[in-house]
Amino acid sequence: MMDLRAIWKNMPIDTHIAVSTDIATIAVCPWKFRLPKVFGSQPQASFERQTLAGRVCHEVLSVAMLGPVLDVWRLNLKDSGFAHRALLRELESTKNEVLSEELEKSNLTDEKAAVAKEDVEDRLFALTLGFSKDFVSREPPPKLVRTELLISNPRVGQEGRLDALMEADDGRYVVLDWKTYSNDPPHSHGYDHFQLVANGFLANYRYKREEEDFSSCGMAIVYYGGVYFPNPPSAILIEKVKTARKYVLDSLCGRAAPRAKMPPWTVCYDYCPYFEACWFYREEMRLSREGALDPGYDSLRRLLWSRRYTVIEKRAVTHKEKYLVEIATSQFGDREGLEQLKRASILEDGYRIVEHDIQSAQITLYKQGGTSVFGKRSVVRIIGIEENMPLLACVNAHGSVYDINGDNLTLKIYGSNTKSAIPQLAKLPVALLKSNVDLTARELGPLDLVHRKLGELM
Amino acid sequence: MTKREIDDYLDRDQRDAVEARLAHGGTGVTVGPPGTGKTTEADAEAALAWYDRKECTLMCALGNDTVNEMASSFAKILGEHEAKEIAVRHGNENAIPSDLPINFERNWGRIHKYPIILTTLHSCKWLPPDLNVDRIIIDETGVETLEQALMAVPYGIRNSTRSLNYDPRYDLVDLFNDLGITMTNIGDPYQAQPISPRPHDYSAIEFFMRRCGFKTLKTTYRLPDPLDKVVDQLVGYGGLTSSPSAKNRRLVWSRTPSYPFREILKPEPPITFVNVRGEERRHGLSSWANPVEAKAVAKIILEARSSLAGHSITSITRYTGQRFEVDRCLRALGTLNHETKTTTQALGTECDLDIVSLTRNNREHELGAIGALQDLNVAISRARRKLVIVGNFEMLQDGWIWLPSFGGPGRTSRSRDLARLIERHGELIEVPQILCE
Repeated sequence: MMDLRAIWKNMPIDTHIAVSTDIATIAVCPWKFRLPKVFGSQPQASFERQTLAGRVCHEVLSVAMLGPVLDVWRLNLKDSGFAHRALLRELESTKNEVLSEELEKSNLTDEKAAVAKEDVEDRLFALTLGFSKDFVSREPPPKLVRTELLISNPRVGQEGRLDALMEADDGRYVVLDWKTYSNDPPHSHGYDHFQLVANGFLANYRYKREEEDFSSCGMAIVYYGGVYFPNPPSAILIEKVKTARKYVLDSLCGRAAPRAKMPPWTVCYDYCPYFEACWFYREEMRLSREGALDPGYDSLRRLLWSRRYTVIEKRAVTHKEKYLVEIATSQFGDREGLEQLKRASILEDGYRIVEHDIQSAQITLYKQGGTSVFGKRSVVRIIGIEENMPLLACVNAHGSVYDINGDNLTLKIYGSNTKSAIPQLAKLPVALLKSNVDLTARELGPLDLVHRKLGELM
Repeated sequence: MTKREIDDYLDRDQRDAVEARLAHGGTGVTVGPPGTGKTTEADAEAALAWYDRKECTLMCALGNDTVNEMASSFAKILGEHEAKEIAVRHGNENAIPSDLPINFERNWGRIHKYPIILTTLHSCKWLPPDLNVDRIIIDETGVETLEQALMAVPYGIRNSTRSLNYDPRYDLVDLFNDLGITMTNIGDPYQAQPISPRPHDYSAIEFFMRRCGFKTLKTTYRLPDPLDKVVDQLVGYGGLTSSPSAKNRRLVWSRTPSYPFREILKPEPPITFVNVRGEERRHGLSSWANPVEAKAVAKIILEARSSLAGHSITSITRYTGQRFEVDRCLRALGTLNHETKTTTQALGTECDLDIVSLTRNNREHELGAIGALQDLNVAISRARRKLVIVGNFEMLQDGWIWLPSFGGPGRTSRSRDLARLIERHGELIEVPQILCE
């Protein structure tokens, strides 16, 4: 009999996860991934993107896809102009709600807020125009839509959040990516394309196919200028994405990753938000190789690196439960694996949502007999169990136990997807999986700052 | 507020520590055993820095509870009105109690108007990027790793002057001096360990203690006699003593407790061990629970709440599994507003009656995490009037800890010293049957 507790205890601390965005970043420049995720560098202030408009558009579309967009789609309007106007009308209330919340949270002046508002209007108009032309007025409405779907595949050490996943009646599915943060079109073999293919791997995992089997998986990027439908990925592209994933995992585990191929220097100078940090660390590496570093400086540098890898190990620990779920389900199958996890008290199922409040991001779950695993402040992954889907590919959200009252459990959901997660979870039986909060990015930042200050003094 | 008025709140040790920190700058450490007024000292340093020198201070800690405690202590020293004028709380709004005596602020423009800012280390990231303070004070550095303590550092950089040649001895403290950072680390390396994937990772306070001088506070305002002696001898602080106000502090019954609990809750002696031999049970992947012990703890809490009006009661355990188990028993008994704390959560808190659940009970006497000195220390040193430990006494007497680095059975636990001290200064009673039913 396999003892999950013993497996847990002896699990090596290399339970890292490569996120789809990191895999895509490596397509652009491997150092652009390493600098924020391993070194802890922060982007230069001058490169800060105007993210409010992008964030608002993203959230509006994620929420609207589950209701208003589907409603319009089901009207089977063949005139794309007509469908576009209907879409915009339906999005209006969601847009106003999300925008006012975001503006309240931000520290923007009235003038900047007005600009952001205009930007939101403009981007939403453009994005919905392409979407209504290439999807709403052309394709039949999907059977099922999932938005902001976080899929973890610990078997290969990958995780990603799909902006939208649309499932057709014939079993085919489309992975959709909203490109709301920039007006630039996506490029073949560029960042967005890599990210989409990496997310396609995860969608294939969700439907229990080989990850490189794209025979039923369609892909699309909705951007400012229309919709980009990339060709099914070639064997070369698939291999590139897999290599990038391996690079991420090797870097995080401290294993020697292959030497990074850098983009041209001029491109870095103009476009990379980590240019200064990159220059600093590469110069330092050169001096270190040449043995030109001062001994005092070198010992302090080693201390900072040792602390960095402790933080990165801490990050690996936050993913351990996912790896355990994978071990249990692959050894025993989905049903028996679930039982094993319940026995090990890291998972509890049999819940249903009896009350929810999207505004305060709270849901109340009911289970006869109440919980015997979780207590107040427990951090959990809330999973809406979908039939025939891997546990870590089902609809989910992250939250913590806020209150326990008899058989009822009140949870506070956090993260950027609360508005879209609650309606999707509401219709499904719910299981709670023990989880962790990952704050390691905040701990790496000061190490980078101290390191570079030290360099400046040198 | 004058220097003298603030000084009135401090004892000699605290005054010396504050004066040394204000006079010398650089990086410094104050070690504060349980109840010695670490937070008061931190608040006094920040307040005096402002009143005497017009210096701004960033005060941080790892947990929200500790930061809130710092805010409350401010109001006690300066008065609520004055505290509201000069100090502001920043961070996660959900973690702020409604009765916090100072204002909460997230707006960058308004934060700049306050000379003293209190926030958690992880929330430092959300402070205004152009914020620059003269002084950083970090509380509970015993539970923080070095990189966590560094999270406040960006806001304290005053200049960048190279004053030393880089020799092999150049280290972080020298770098901080070159960057003009004034940082006070307050904590106790014997009360907590940082949470780290590495088995024997050092805390921020241990790191700085090895590199710069430190002062230890010796008068406890929390622990009554003889609990002060028990804690002092268990840990080896070298002379921790109760203040006159704490020495004879005892429980005061508002109603005589019912028969089986009378022995447990009697004011003398202030240390009681309730011998329960419940069976331990695994909980989750790395935690433990002991349902029989949980029942006993829940019933003692229930009785204490009705017979000790006006007293604060806390139940503490090392294990999250047992925390849930005790709270579940309490809910089953109709008590909803009591929350058991783990030793990590209990850090920096105090109560009149401290009920500790030992939890582990096995034939091999393997104590596990509760056998670590830091956890034992935190668990027994929260009490202002009385400490009740519930568990199997044999486990304390013969307990040992398994150390992975040894690859074998490990070493004996300091719990054995605690058992001897309890026999000398406290009372051991057998559990009444009714408590376990």
